[in-house]
Amino acid sequence: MIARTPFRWFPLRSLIATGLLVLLFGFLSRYAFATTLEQVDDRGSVISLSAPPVRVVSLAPHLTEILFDIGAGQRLVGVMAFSDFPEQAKALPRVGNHSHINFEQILSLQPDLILGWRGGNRESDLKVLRDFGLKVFETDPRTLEDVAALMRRLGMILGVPEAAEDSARHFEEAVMRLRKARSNRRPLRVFYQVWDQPIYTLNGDHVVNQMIEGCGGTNVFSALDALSPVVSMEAVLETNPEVILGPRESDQSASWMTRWESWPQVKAVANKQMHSIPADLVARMGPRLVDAMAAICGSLSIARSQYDG
Amino acid sequence: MLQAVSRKESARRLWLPVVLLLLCAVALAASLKIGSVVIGWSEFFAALMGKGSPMATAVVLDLRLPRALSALVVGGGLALAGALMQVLLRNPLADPYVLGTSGGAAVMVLLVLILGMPYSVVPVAAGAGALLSMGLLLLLVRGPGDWSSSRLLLTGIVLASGWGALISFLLSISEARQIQGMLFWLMGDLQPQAPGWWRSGVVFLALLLSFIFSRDLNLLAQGDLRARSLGLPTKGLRLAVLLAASVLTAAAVTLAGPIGFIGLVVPHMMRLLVGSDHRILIPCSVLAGGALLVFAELLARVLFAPQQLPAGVITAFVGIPIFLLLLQRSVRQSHS
Repeated sequence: MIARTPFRWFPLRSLIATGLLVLLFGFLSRYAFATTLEQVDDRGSVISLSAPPVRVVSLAPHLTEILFDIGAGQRLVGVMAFSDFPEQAKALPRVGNHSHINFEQILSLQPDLILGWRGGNRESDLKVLRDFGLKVFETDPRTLEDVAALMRRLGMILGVPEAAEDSARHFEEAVMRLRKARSNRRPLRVFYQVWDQPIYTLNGDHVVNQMIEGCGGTNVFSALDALSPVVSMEAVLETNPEVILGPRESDQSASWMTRWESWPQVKAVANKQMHSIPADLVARMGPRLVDAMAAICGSLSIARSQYDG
Repeated sequence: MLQAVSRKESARRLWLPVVLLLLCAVALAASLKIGSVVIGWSEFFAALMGKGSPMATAVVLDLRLPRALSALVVGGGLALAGALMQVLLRNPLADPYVLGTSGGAAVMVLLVLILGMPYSVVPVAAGAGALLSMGLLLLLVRGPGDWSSSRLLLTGIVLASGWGALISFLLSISEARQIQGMLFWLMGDLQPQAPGWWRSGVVFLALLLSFIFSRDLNLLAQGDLRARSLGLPTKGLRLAVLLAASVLTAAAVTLAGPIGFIGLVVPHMMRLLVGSDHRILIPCSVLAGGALLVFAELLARVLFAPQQLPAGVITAFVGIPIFLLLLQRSVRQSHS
């Protein structure tokens, strides 16, 4: 009995010793490996990474575009449906679409970082991924400035800050050039039509509103509460816009225009100032927003020459 | 049923059609006068004559008038289709969509939208889908002997849930941008176009025929056995009723998508008011359905103007309280 006593205590002592060692090592590693990176995401949670991620899943087409733009596209192992830009993105495995995320596939890809989009992914879906112990960096860009900032933040996380800085600066300079080129005359009244059945538009909180204003226009429905409100045809007639902008599909069609052609009472129709903007560009909060803005500014300057001579 | 016409009901049978006709007129007038673009009375009358300012004339005659007329035709048609379905299936829960007509239409419409076809194809697709669904139903229930209501209803319901599954499938594979448009169509909303001659014709013809054969409908409503014993060719009659209800629903769906509630509740409301004699029930249902949808369309436009709601949402909000109130009163009356 006496001989067994130390034997009984021995494991506990060694456990304590091991625990202390682990703690010590933990503290040491915190200071020793200065590469440990912490970034606060747009959900407010801290994402800490000990090394730049190499297996990334992107849950939105624009996040995919940003990653390729900052030179980290080759780290993507999974993307969302409709991620069709750049060309290399088309070959990547699809892990879901706006209504459904394939959790099993994401788990099997063993990503060390998942980029979520609060504007498109469901909160509950992102939580499921977090609960699996995956690192989810949630993003929520809403303005042109946010897009440039997001490029820099993703550059930090992925360990490519210089390339990201280049992309962000390129983006900002392009936006600035377009803003500078706008006319200082009175803003043109613009109706932006997202969809024609039903007619829905965008309010002042949307990035399209920002781009229209940056190009010297003013969105006739900017004061509405909903981000993309459905408006009646009559409400559009009442605002009598000088320019109507709408989507151009990938097959170059803009069928929404035919409906307006029978309404010459609208200034934009009477003066043939209906213009189409490539639909994909406007819908994505990525690097190609500057192309969308260039298209909007181009349309407004055509309209400007029609109205102001 | 027929025998138990109370004195109150028989009085109502005289004045209710007149009141409903007036209600239709008021609804149409309000719907032409009120909207985002404010038009004064003198300008309004000038616009009605086609002599107002170009904007006012266009808004009243080219924008509000076609929609209001569409609402009248669709509302009336759906109420009639609902009344017919309730006779055919002898089930108070029957409505124009219960046998899958709107489901078939919706599947075709979503397909057209996914393929990115122009919106002008949508009414054609809706009509084709509705008729396809009807054809499928006829194919499934054909065979020797008479159709029982329950066989027809069960087949229709299974067909409808099949369409429902297809709708969910199509929604889940389509692009996010398209979804809002699709959901709006599925909620039911009026297209900004006139009802057109064939749709108005369908509703008018169906109304006329139902009125002519309303005595037969009365018999059919009391059950096959009784109707057959009185020498009614029930199979032929039921086929005719099914065809009429389906074509009416198809016509309505091409203009407005599956606007709910009217086809279910308007015939019930009228039954509570005037009893179940189809000679009076059918014209009253058509008028009430038309007036209700014209009002709903107006509210959908002006309630949150400049934003617009689907008219199908309003029909439920307006109709359900009225229906519950009528139901409560009729229950209380029958117990007093």
